Amino acid sequence: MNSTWLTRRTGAVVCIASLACLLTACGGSSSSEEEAAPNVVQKASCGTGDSPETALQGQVPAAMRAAGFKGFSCNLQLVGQSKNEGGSWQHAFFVDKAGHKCSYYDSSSASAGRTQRGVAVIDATDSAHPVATTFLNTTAMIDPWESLKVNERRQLLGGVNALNGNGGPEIDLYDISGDCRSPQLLTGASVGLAGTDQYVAAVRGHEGNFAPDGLTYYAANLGSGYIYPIDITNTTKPKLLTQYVTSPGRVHGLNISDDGNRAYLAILGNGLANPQRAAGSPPNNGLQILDVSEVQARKPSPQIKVVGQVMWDDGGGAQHAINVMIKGKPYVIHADEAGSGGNNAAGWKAACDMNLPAWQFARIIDISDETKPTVVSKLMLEAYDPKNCAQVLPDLDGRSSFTYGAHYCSVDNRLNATTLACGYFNSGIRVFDIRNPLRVKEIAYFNPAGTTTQSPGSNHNRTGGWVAGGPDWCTAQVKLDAASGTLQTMCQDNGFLTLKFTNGVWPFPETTTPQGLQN
Amino acid sequence: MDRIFRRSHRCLPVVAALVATHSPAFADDIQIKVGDCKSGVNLVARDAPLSKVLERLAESLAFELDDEGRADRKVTLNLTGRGPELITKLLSPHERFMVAHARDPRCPGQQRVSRLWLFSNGQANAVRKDAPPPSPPSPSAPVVKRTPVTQIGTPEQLRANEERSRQLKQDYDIYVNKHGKPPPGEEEEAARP
Repeated sequence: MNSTWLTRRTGAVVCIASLACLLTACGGSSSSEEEAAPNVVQKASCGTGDSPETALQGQVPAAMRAAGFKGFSCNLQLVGQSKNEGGSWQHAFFVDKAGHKCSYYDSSSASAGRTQRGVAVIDATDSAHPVATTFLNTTAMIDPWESLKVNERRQLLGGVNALNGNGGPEIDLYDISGDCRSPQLLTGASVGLAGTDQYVAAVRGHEGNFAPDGLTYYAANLGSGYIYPIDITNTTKPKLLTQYVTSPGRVHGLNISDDGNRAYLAILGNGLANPQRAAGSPPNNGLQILDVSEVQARKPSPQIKVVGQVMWDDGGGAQHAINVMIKGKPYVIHADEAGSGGNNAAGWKAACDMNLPAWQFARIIDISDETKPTVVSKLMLEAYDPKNCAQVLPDLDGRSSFTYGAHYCSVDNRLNATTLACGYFNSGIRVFDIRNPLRVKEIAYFNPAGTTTQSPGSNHNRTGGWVAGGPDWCTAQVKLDAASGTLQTMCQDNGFLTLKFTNGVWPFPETTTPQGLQN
Repeated sequence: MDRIFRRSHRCLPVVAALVATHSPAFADDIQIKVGDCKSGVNLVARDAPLSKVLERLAESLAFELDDEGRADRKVTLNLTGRGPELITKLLSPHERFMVAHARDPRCPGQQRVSRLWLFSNGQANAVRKDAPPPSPPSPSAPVVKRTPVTQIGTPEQLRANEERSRQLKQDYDIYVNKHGKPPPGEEEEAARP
C-alpha cells in the first residue's frame, strides 16, 4: 500500500470533515435539541371480540411469555394463514391480470429440517385459505433477505443474493405477468464481473428496491455500506451501473422517487447510548437523500450527489425509508432497526440509563425542502418510552438480538398516504392513521400467538432469539387492501397471514390501495 | 452554560488541527505513515512538542482529542503499532490519559481510537482557567453528558460525506484488488448470525 498517498488523502478528508465539525461545534449547524417528552403515539381503541393488550402499548409482559403468549388483537382478526416452514425478513405481493392475489416471502438459509427452502409463493386469492403453490430456490432466492421486491409496472419479482445478510453478486428476476402463482425465471446472472461490458465491482446483496419505472434495481449492501444500481432494461442481461459507498453511516434500505432522480436511503449508524458510538461524534443514523439522476439518465460514469440528510441520536440501525405524499405534501417515513443503545441487553440498559428509547420506531420526515429534511413526528409505542424501562426490561431477561421495536412499514398509497402499517419485533402488526402526520393515531394491532415449536425457515432461530411460546418477529412489508378491508403480511414463526379489519376502523373514506403504490 | 462551554471547548482541537494541517513549521518534525491492518501506524518525531504530535495523530487516525493537560514536553521517537497500542507507547508512563475505542471498520476484529483524553499531570500549568477540574482516569470511557440531537446536514457536512464516500470507495477497491474478494464488512448487528 502507498502509505504516503493514503496519509495525504486521509489528511485532506479530515481537513474537510474538520471544517464541517468546526461549523457544527461552533454553532453553525442546524442541530435542534430534542424535547424532553418523547412522542408516544395514541393507542387504538378496541372493540368487541378483541383480545387487547393487558399492559403497555406494544408490550408482551414476562408472565405471559412464560405461560406461552396467546396473542393480542385489536380491530384486526386472523382470517387466513399459510405457515409452511416459517419465513425470514421480507414479503412482496402482486395481483395478476386474471385476479390472482399472490404473495411472496423469503425464508432463512438454514437447511436443517427443511423441505421447502427459498421464496414461498402464496396464492392468497381466497383470503381464508391461502396456499403455497411453489418455492423459488434459484441462487438469490435461497436467501434474498430484505431485497425481495415486486415492480408492478414491468410485472417483475426480484431480489439479490443476500445469503445470511451478506451474499454474492447474483440478481434473480422473475416474470409474474402471466400467472403470478407460477413466476418464470428471467435471469440469475452475476453482475459487476470483468469483461462483461458493465461497471466492474465485487458486490454483495442485503437490501434493495426497484426504481418505479422498473428499469433499474438498486441493490444495497449493509456490510460495507454501498448501493449498486443494476440496469435491468434487458431483464435477461442485467448490468451493474456503478457502486456508491455511503457516509456518514452504512446504507440499509432505500426507496426511489417516481421520476427516478432521487434515492431515499436509511443510513445505519449508532444511537447516542450505543457503546460502539465514538464519544463526542455527531449523529450518524438517519435519512439521506441522494441525487441519482445520472444513473436514471444512464450517463457514462454516473456521479451520485448528496442532496440532504437528517441524522438523530435517539435511534440506531436505520432500516428503510419510504417517500410518500400526505395531503399533497412530500414526506419520508423512516423506520429504525435498533434503539439508541443497540440490540442487546447492555444497549437497552445504556439507553434507559440515558433516558433514551431502547427500542426503535418509525418517524415521519417533512421533505418539502429536500435539502433540509425535518422530523415532524415519532411513532413511539408506550413500551418503548424510556420512562417505562423498569416495567419493560424484565420481559427480556435472558434475551438478546432483536426484541421489541419496529422493522418494516408500508403505506396504503404512496401518492396519497392515509394509513401506515408496520411490522414489529415482539409487538406484532400495528396500523396507524397518518392523515395528520403531526398527530398519528393507532387504529389496530394484531400480535400473533407464540409458536411452541421452531419453524425451521424462520430467522428468529438464533442465540437470544426464538423461545417456545415467546412473541413472534413480524418484520415484513404489509399489503393493505381497501377493497376487502384486509391486510397480508408475514411473521417469521407464523408464516403468511391474512388479517381483516373489524369494528369499521378501516379503510377511511379517502383510502385507496392501487397496485404498485405500496412501496 | 455548560453546553456553551462544551461547544467552544470542542472547537479548540479542531481549530488546532486545521492550523496544524496547513503549518509547515513542524511538517518535517513529525511523520506519520498509516499502513495496512497488519503493519499499523509508524510515528516518527524529532524534538517535537507532544501536543503537536497528538494533534497530528488525531488528524491522521481520525479520533477526537481532548487535551486538557497541555504538557508540552518535546519528544523524539520512532514508534510503530496499531492505533490504541501506539497511543499507549507514546504516553505511558509519563502522562495521565484515557482512550475510548470503537470497532475499526477497515480492519475487522480490530479496534481503533475514537477519542483520547489527556489530563493534567501536575507538571503542566496550562489548564485553562475556565476548565472544570479534570476527572481521574477510569477503566471505561466516561459517560458523555450530551443532549440528544436531531441534526439536519449542513452543506459542509454533505460535501464532507461525498468526499468521504469517494475515499471509502477507493479503500474498498484497494481491498478487493489485494484480496480478490469484497471485505467481510461490519456485522450488521451484534446479534446477526
